Amino acid sequence: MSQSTHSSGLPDIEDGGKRLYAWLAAIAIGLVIGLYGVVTLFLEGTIATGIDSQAPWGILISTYVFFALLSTGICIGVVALAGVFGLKKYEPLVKRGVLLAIATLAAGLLVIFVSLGHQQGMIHLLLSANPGSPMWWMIVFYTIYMVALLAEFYLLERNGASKLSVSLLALLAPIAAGTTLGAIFGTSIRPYYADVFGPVYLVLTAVLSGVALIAAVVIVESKLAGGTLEDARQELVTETLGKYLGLLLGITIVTVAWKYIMGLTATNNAMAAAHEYMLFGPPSWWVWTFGIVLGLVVPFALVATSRTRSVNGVLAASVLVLVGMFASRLEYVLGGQVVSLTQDPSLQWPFVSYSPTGIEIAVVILGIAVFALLYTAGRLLFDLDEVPDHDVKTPSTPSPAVTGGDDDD
Amino acid sequence: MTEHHSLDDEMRTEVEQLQLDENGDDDVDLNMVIDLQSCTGCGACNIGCAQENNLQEGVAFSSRIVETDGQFPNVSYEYTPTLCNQCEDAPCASGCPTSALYEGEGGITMHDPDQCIGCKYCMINCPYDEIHLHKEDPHPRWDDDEAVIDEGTATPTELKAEVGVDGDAPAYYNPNREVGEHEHPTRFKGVVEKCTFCVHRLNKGELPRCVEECPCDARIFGDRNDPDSKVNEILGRYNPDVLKEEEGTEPKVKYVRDYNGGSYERGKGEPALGD
Repeated sequence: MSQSTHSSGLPDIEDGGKRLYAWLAAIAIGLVIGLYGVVTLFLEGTIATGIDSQAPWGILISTYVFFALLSTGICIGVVALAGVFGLKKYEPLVKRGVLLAIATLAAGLLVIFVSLGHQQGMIHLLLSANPGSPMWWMIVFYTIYMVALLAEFYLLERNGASKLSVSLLALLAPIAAGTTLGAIFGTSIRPYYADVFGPVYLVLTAVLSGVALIAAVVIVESKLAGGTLEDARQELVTETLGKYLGLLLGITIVTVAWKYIMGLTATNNAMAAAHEYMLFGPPSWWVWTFGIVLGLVVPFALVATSRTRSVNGVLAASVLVLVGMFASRLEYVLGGQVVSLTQDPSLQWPFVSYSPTGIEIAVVILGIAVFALLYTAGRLLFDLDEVPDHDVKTPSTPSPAVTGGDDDD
Repeated sequence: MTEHHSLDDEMRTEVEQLQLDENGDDDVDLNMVIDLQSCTGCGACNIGCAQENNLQEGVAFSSRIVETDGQFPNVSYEYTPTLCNQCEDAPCASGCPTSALYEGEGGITMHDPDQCIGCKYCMINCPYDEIHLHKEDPHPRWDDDEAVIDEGTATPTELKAEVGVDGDAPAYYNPNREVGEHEHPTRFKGVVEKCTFCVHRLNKGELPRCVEECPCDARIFGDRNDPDSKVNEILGRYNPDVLKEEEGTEPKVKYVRDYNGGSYERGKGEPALGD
């Protein structure tokens, strides 16, 4: 155990040596694949994707929803708990959380930008804005949110502490944005999106995925650097984050179960048919395997049992939750579109099928690579283990000291 | 010789007198009524529309719903011509973040391709599948040097040279669509497009192409705000239906005289089951 460590617990990533280079190489490969996808998409148009007039939103939209809600969830579920409500337990995660929120939001915005058919028209979001459109409000809220995140990170980096007003903005803006996302989907012609239930479902699962991401990142970082977690950090992962994840998984499992039961038994034909198609039709294999079993049930079992709620157990649960949520976002986005609206012989009827093309997958990989790149860059440039300044030296703080690590610089 | 006015002539006269304003600042409420008993389902509207608007393969502004019911030999068949309903309360326009879809002249739901960002939210919101996405550049094989059958058919480039088309001419250029500000003579990938009641023809005092093509006079088109219009005459006589009325979109394409050619043996007042 000769690893040099930061005072706050995590080994320094630079010590990872070869592992770090392998990681950077993987990001570079992801970027190359992603750029190939983007260039092909721009040259050929949406013909290179699997979408059509009946299923206009595919995996690029669901990936955007995945990333945007990850960011939303980190800010609501972790950063705000410390920054706004003063929960000291979460303070060691604040700076890392803000950086993760920035990286995920940036990746999401990049993917949805690429998915647009005509980016040149974007100036009209300002010139001829339509405040009656939930889509317009979502863009406004996520822009405010991004500014708040950058401001918060800047304040944390410069002063070692954020301002309550900025933290509050970084809590309210993503709630507004995440629920507006639910309003976008909440159209009566596509009842699968569950109308008023949609925003609540999206915000709940946002927090679930956000907590999973921050837990996974904290653990993976220490593993990449080849070190072991010190006691305080281990307790944070297994006790605080592990149990938090378990609570969220429990609520989500019950919520999703009700969502499915209500959907399957609905008298509304489009609602019932969409649920039957997603749960028992062609997409059912991945909806059940990834979305439900591996994404909810297995991780819940892992963190609910104290024996498996170890560092590795929480890591496995977190990664499974992330994989599961990625599948669930696709399930959610497609579910509203699988029931055909018109019995037109030139269109698909009664169900609409969609499968992503390689080009779309490449853009998804770009999103993941950009997220990884931004986070890694932030990790290498800034000291993320700095605990926010206010009231840090109280006995309940898990880390014994804040600054002045033995090998800083 | 007595002067004979066809339905088309009457409607054309009405259209010529319309005072349309490109910003929708007019007192015109354009409506189309489709007489289902006159419609034979020939599809001339669909073909005319595709020609008029140079539509790409797989895109149809004018289409149809076909429903069959019952078990053979007792089968019903219903054919309903469809097009954009130009909804009074248009969900496509209310959801559009850049106001690229808006209420234009005569209450037509217009689309400005310059303002469109290609987010496809209108397609999610339209209950009728009437918004169409251009997935690629128009006529992508316009400049190809490859023949469908080698040494059997001409390549598109050879064909252009043979008929004397300027090599740099944009593909799918339609000079008819140069009339208004809001239609483009060609089109671009990535944006959506929809039926506009052939606004470029209306601006020239012509009827929408599908109305003109219909050999059975099944499409009646005109201003709902003109009490003497043909549209009002028909709507006053019949109780119109609209598609998916429950969505509250208030379509301006209405259907009259729902065709039901069948009959069934009526009961004779005898006690029924459960009586």
